[in-house]
Amino acid sequence: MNLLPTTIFEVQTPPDLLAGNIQLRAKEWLLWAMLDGERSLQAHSEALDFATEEGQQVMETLLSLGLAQEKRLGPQQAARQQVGAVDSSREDKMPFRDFLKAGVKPEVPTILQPLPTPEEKPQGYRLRATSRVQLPTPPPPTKLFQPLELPTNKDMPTTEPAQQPVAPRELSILKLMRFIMSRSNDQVAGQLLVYRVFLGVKSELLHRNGITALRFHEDHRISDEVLIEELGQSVQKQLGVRLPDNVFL
Amino acid sequence: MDADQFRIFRDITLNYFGKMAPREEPPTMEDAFMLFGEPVLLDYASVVSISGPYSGSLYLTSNAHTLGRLLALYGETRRDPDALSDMCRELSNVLSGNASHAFGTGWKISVPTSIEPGQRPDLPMTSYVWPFAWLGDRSFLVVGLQEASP
Repeated sequence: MNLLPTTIFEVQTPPDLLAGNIQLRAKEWLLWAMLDGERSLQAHSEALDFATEEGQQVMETLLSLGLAQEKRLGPQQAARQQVGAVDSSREDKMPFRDFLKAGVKPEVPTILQPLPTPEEKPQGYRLRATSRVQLPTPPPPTKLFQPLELPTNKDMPTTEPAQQPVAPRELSILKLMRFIMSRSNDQVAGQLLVYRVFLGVKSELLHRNGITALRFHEDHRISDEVLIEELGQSVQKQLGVRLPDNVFL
Repeated sequence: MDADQFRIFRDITLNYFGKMAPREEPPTMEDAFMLFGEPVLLDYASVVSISGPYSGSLYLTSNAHTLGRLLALYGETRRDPDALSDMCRELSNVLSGNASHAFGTGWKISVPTSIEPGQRPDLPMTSYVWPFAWLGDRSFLVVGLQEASP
């Protein structure tokens, strides 16, 4: 196969490539990575320091594996191709070795472009150096090693002994009723006082804690903080005191 | 809320049943309890609404058999729904008189009403219930209040 050095090639992405079933030599990967559908095979060969025949052989391999295809051109593009209008001299020309090395040279950073959108380049992946940008050199670190600061957030991991989880407090309804009734001088008055306290608590809140009826000698253990809070507020309102500690278990 | 007023109301209501059958066992009070949500309601209920420091209802709810026993004690031989409703209204009047007697000051007592089977009364959600047994049946004397609107 005789390939014209001025021919422009573009990449193809066969399913085997995506599946990882294609293996190439280093030179073939390099040329495949350079194909951009704009520059000629000759331009790529020069950039990669390939001899003309070597570049042609490598390209033949890529064509045989379906990894590249000749780009179809219109009349104007074909004319420019013949006179070398679209050539490596059009924009940043540099050897591929330098292109690769640029990634580790801080004075010549290389920017990898994001994948082209389907509208502008449907062929697939493309790797190219777009420009040489002089970025400010970061100041050298003053210390090679700096210890991490101690965590200030309580949720951060720590080497301190784990704190014991706070057990939810439990309120005894029976102890609460006895406490309320103890503030009256007879049974009916005490029960009415308990009733007044419970009038200040939403029925739905009692239901959700399994209380639909309550005898005055019956106990329930409550750990629902919302219910405990509401009972506390009602006791405060009816009796003028806070819930005593002895109503908690 | 004066506990003495409620105690008087309870006692004179139970005495009514005792006086109706002096040769029988008097009503027996059982353990009181509180009810949250659905109000306790047997076949019939005699209701008095009250308002004052709190607003709500005082009611006595009984089954048809209890009302039939009361009708018999009045010398009435009928047991049909109309007769039972009449007895329920009679109990409402008794209850209203008792409430007026017990809650003489600070409370306003409404015209008594009665609730018959199938009716869904608007009764307070949180109630204080006195159950009592009389002639083998159980009835409930209920205080259902809520804090009066400011």
